[in-house]
Amino acid sequence: MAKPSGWRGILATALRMPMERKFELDEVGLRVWEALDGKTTVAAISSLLQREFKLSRAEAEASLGAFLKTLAARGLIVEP
Amino acid sequence: MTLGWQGFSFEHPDDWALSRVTGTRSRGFLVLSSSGAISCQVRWEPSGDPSAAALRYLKSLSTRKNKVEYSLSDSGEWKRTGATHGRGFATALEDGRLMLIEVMGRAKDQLLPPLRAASSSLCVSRLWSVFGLSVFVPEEYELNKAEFLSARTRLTFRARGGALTAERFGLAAQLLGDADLESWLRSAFLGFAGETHQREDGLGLGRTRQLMKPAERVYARCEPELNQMTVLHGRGRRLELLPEWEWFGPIQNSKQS
Repeated sequence: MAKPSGWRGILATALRMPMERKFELDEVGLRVWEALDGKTTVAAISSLLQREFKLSRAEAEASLGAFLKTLAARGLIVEP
Repeated sequence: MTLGWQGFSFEHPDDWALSRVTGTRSRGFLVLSSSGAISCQVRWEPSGDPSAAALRYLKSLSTRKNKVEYSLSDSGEWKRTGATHGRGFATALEDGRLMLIEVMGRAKDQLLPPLRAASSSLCVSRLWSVFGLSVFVPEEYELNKAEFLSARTRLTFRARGGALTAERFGLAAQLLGDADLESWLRSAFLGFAGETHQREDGLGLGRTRQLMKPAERVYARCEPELNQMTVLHGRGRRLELLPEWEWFGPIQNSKQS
């Protein structure tokens, strides 16, 4: 869950909008989310997906790249 | 692993994956990329002299800024140096098509072993094998659309009197969840009714031709060792264009590519 900040937070309060956003992740997304600890590299997460979900290198990299872009676009992760 | 595309197939290292493809059965171009600096390009044309085509290709590489040095044998094999190093060959397939295959990389890369593997295994084939999908499709079918999605590969074919979709789903266990294969198949194919054919490694659903509806057949093969599933879905007036169990190809059992 993510709380809005700045103008979004003020507007959310004024308009009595929910102060939290909920994101539902599937099994693979959840595993990636858990691995995003600021220390584990993208390559290591890709290897994890290949190992745990039997994905090929190409599809693990493609899926992970797309998922990380989505998370970044929603402000849930930031690039180092 | 095997690449099968547009009527030809050849073996390639496990860590190579398709990164670009264009064209039709008679003429086209594709690139396989490794996890390192090596890549492989494949060109095919309706017909032609292999040595002349190889020479034409090598001459086309040189520009004013980038001089390409090359040696070309009578058999159509070449070696080139320059900004990129390459080893390749040109040959005529049994069906008359001209093929050029070149493995490229840095000076220190071993380019010859994968090239030898490709040249010794290259043949005319009905196999379509890419990104874990592996199916034999009758020659009559023409590729209409190829979609390479995350954990999903989908090839759509058209023929006179028939249509076929060959699809490979990764993450099969997560996709099915608690559902059994039959209910998932019926749900995925919009309540597709018909007879069920249960097999040890999969399931088939079939419906005969009706007044206003063509015959339809869906076969699914589970490949749990790869956590994937291959589905063949055909419909048409001609029974020979509907999928059979024998259309499932060899499972490409590698997790490196």
